[in-house]
Amino acid sequence: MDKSNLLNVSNLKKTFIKKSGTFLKRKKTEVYAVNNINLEVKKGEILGIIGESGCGKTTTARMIMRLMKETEGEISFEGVNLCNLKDSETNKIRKKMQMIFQDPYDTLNPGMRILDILMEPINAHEKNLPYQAKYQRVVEAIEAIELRPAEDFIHRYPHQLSGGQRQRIAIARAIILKPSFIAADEPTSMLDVSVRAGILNLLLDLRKKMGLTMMFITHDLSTASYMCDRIAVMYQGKIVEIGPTKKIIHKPSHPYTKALVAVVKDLNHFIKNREKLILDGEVDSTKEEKGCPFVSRCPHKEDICHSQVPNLEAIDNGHSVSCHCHTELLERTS
Amino acid sequence: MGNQKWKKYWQVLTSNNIGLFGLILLMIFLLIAILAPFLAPFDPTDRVGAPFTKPNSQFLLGTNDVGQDILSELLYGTRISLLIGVIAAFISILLGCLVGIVSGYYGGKVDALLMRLVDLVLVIPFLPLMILLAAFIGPSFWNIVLVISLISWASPARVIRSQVLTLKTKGYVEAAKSIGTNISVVLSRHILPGVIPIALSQFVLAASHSILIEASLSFLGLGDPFTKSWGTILYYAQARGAFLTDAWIWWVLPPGLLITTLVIGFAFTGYSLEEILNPRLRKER
Ligand SMILES: Nc1ncnc2c1ncn2[C@@H]1O[C@H](COP(=O)(O)OP(=O)(O)O)[C@@H](O)[C@H]1O
Ligand SMILES: [Mg+2]
Repeated sequence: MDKSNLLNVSNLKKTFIKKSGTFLKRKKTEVYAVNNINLEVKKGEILGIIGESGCGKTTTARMIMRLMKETEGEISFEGVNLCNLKDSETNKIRKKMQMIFQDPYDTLNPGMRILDILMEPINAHEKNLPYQAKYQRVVEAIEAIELRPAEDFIHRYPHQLSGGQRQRIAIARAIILKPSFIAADEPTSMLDVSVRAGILNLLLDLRKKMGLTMMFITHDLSTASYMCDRIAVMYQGKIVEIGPTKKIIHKPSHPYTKALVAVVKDLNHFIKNREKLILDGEVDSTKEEKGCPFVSRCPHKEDICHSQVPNLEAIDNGHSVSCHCHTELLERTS
Repeated sequence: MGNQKWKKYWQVLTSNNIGLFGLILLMIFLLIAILAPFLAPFDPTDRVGAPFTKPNSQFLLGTNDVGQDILSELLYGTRISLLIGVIAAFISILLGCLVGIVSGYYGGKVDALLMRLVDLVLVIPFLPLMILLAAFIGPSFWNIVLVISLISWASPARVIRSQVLTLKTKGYVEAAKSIGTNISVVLSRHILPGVIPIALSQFVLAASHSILIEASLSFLGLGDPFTKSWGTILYYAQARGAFLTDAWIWWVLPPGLLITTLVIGFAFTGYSLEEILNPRLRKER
């Protein structure tokens, strides 16, 4: 294991049991929400996780944050294996890793003032601090997220704030304990387009000032390319391609990444090559198929794609892809 | 904001005729209970007249078999009936909250076990069980309270559990957990405030049931003979044959009416509280 990695995830799996049918014909189907993920997050970097809705991004983050138990696999943070910790030990680790959730209208308790909301992390970890010091920390955190003057906001309730302001408060709650790692789960997807850039820049700014390491989850490639040093592309619970942002954008190797890039990059190219690029068909993560998970929607499928699961293979320095045909595809496009 | 919310609840409660009516009834009974010593013409335990006196200007509702003033008995009885109802309801809601919150929040095996227990308590025919229980542990004020609480915590527990289940999925609960807030704080800061309004409406409904149950038990002679509630008065009326003579008009009817009115007061208030807290039940006005 590399010393410069803050977070190491290996062979992480999560299976949900979905019950359906009536009393007599009860069926239990397994949903492979996260299916054997390996990734590492280096100190100081922002790793993007990108993929369509339902591909398992949130589930991955929730397992890393210990909000959900993994079915299988290992997560180590600063060299500590998080999977076998007792609850009290997990709570201690949480001081160093925080999450920003997707929906700012849901993550702030409507009955609590901003002051109480931001006091909560301090009370959880540094209860014995004098009140004045706690208050000062809250004020500093509100100023750090650029809501000024802080005293104007401290006594408000969440419903008196706009969506962007709420998300800023959620960010303040995440950074108030000065964590080393933050997982941001689509922090701008529920916000007005006009305030999104502000939130993204705030996160970049905080990362620079506090030396944060981040996992940034999004379904939007352009946001990911703006924010991230490296990007992992997820599809149906698997990482299909991972590499430096530049490589993912300029030399996408997996057909799924290619489709994502094409949509963002060049609308004309996308329209002309629609048939080759469009993602068709239903996503179904309920069965663990024999072949490539992408095969039903892939425009390039070959025989081997139906029978064998591709592995994530390195094709370049720090750039890996899981596709049987990526060498041929590379030749065809270049 | 909290203040505003309560103001809105108050508005809905009072703009609703049934709720307002229930609330007024409750106020009247509360006043009677508090002011009983001033309202009652006699001490209800004193033998102030001849036994079985018919109503006259001195004893408005006549006297009972030992010459106590029935009107005074009824006025003082309000205290006992109200007190037993409220205390028993309070204990059953406390128990219901505890079971509901633990069951809803922890889920899994604990939940399954507790909910089977709730089912059990709910399906047992309660009158025979209570008679058995009350007869077994003997009649006294607190035993009656205990018996009533033991059989009426189950339905509030169910309702509160379902509320906890929805609260549990709220983002702020998950956020609190991911911050490292310990469970007791999550429960008291985030879950409990969402449960209290529901618990309040359940409390009022439970009080109405408790009063009815207390009356039934006391009527069957299982009440505390030293603290006379309306039910106990009915028991003596029955035992002394008042049901068979003209005396039922002043000895049986008044306590019966009082019980009915108080139960209705609680029930009406409870239903409109429920309406407030469950907006889907709220009618367009
Ligand atoms: N608590 C749960 N119970 C059952 N299935 C779940 C649960 N959470 C997520 N899933 C399923 O897991 C899959 C991945 O979900 P999620 O991680 O939320 O996706 P994303 O965040 O990428 O949109 C989805 O198919 C979803 O239906
Ligand atoms: Mg998600």
